[in-house]
Amino acid sequence: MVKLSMSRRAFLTSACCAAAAPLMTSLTLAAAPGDKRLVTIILRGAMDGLYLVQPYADGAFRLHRPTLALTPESGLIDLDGFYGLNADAKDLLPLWQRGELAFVHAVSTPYRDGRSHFDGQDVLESGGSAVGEEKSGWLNRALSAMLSGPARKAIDVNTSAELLLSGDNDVDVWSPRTDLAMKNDERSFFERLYRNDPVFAKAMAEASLTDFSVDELYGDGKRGVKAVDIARLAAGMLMQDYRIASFSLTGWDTHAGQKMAFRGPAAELATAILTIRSTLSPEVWKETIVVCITEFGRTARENGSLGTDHGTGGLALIAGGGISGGKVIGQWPGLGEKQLLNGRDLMPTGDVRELAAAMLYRQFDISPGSLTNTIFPGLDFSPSSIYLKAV
Amino acid sequence: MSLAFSTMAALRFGTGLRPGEAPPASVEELLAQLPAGRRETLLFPHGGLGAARRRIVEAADKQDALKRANKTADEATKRVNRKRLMVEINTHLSEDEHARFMQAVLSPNGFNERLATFWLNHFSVSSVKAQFMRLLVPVYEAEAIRPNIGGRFADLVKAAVLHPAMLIYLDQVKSFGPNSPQGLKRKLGLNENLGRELLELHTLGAGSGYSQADVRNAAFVLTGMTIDRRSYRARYAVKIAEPGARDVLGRTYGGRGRGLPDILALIEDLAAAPATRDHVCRKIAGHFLADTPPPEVVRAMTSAWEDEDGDLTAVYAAMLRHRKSWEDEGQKAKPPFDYIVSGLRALFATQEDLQDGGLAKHRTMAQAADRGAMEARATMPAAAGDLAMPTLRVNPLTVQAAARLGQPLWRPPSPAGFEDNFSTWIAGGPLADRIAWARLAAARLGGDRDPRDFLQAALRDAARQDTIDIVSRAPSRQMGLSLVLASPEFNRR
Repeated sequence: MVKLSMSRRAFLTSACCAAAAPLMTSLTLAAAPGDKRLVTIILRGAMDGLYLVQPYADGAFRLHRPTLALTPESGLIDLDGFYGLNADAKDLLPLWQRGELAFVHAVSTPYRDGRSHFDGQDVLESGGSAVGEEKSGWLNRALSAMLSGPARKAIDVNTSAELLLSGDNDVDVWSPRTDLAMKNDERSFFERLYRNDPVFAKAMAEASLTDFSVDELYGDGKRGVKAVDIARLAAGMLMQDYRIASFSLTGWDTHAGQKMAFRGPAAELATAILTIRSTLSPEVWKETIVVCITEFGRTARENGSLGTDHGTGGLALIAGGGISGGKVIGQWPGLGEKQLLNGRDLMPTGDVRELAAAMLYRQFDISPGSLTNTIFPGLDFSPSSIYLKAV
Repeated sequence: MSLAFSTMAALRFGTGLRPGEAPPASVEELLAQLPAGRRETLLFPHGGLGAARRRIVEAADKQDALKRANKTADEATKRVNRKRLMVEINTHLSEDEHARFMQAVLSPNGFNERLATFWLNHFSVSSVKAQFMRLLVPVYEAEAIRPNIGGRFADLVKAAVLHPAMLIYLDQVKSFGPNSPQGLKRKLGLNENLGRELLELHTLGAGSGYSQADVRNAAFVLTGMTIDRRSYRARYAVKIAEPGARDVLGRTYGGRGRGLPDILALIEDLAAAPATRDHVCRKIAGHFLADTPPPEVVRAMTSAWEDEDGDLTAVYAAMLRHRKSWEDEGQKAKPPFDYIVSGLRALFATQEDLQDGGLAKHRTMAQAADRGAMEARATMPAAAGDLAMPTLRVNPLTVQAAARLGQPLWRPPSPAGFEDNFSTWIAGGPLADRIAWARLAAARLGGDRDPRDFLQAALRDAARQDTIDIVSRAPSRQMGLSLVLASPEFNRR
């Protein structure tokens, strides 16, 4: 649950019904500077990392994917002479060029050579080393380690708390469609309804405050549930007291007709990242890291339906105003027959959990002990992690 | 006791007051709702259990036929075929979801309904684990959970844990004794998932003193338990059962042979363990009374459990007969499902009000498959086709609302089920969503009711004076009705 400072609450009761936009904005900004932010985007359905960031210079790649493999000659955007970016996500290129975007290739969770989205997402979000091992989300457990510092807040931009952020620590859940949508006189009735019940009064105050800023964010525009709406909401919340936001993008399960099927999700992913950047102030963007992760990668070979099937090694994205990006991180395992996992999947050379741990360490100073004991039990992580050095 | 017995009975132990329905006036009347509930004709799965079972077999046949046809079909045809089956299955699920709400709203046996929902959450399964789970989960609730919630706990565990829905959900169907004939031949191994959750969630409880070796051995004892892929019924296959004796919590299961009796004995022993008693009684009391329930009530329940060999009706009776169970009203927040159900009961929603919105043509398959895209954790096949397929429109007051309020029906976030504590459900975002629901429900079903009468009918003596004052000063009928449904008393119990 969100905790409001006294001044904010006092402000709310005194001024919620007046046209208080400028005052609200300045108050919000005052509360924000200097604090680090983290956004996690879960790419549900298993994003084909080999298709988004293609190792076009690996000779085996074209053999595995006669129709899906691209080259700079056929529209792939060369990144570094070895990897190229799929033009479906070309809007991300300026970020890459500014060093605000990095890719991490050949990573996976400990869920390897499994084929279930459900179980893969369970491991991705719970941070355990096997399905069902952890019952809460790693990002929620990370909140416990952060509570020694100044009060932190997390928001799950969705309709129900996702596993990633669920657990003992209270989080707030806000959907772009959540809308009090009432006139001030109506709102005052609800405020009076809850006045004598402190828990409800506090929740109503939070709801009003959040709703107020969401209204500001959207203006009179329609509140959709597309990537742009959710990203805007997440970033808007991060401009206030919230420090952690999480949401999902779907549509990545491209078993058939991948050329067409990938286009929409890839464009949405680019839109989400760019919207977060443009909604945040430049100062806050510098303090923010966006991590995009998926439950597993897809098969090295394309299938008979011009798509790809469930694999293992995949791709993660890191974006942020303060990172030194513009590079593809991670050890490339190769795509030769012997280099593939069980002859079919990209061999993981890195652990998604280590990447997540590195970002938590970097943003929130969480101790390596907490990271390897409670947040990601059994993980091998130290401050010399390549993911810290690289970005 | 601060409130009238019947008010407490309806609010705290039931699904709320409904006009024309007399709330229970005694503990005996509450308990009588269990056998009465069993005699009801369930409104889901639609068409009855027999029809639902037939649908599963038909869908399995269709899937087989599809596999055969797809060997020769072109890409476009394959896609269409797969989608057609998926839409058909999703449509059945949607119908069952609507019917499940009808059951909860229309049943006069609220205590029985509450217990069914409680146990469904205790033995959580999810309709998005696999395609056929969409057909199996409603069947699971109707045939494994509901008939067993008034009997011995051990029998409930057996019915739930050995049901195909659970065997699929917790990967028992992927577990093989590595030294079983099939395990050796096909190099297959153990999956510990069901073994772990059986100890951690279903019976003993986390941190109650069992070891990883117990978990692993429980999983070994469970090998052999699987499903028949044609009938989707549970079956025991000795060819995949790990041979040899295994110890769980100091008891030995199996010897030279292994069979279903070993699994049943394991469950009996786990169900009879003191840790299970404590864990389960605390959870029941924690659901009905307060996030931290009075220890004396829990003690009364555990001793009834001990005296009556885990008879759940005796355990409920011990809770209901304890004075402390009738004190300090309003400690719990209704979870979204119960909030919606009680609101619809207060509004006297009819079966017609609770129906789905009929067939809708979707522009693309992705929309059809991904109904409530942001609400589902499900991963659906990507948007490939542009085929228009009819699916059911979802009722915004029930199925859609539950997802939006954070408790999508039959889709818990993990095997631990949905949260059951105050702070999860009463926070800024969730409260705003509840207010939005209250306003929509008042607008659609409020009619020309007088808000003051409605408050009295919905909460009786649980309505506080300040709420009565505000409701009677509401600027419109609709606003007044919304205030009643959104009030703290209506969200608490």
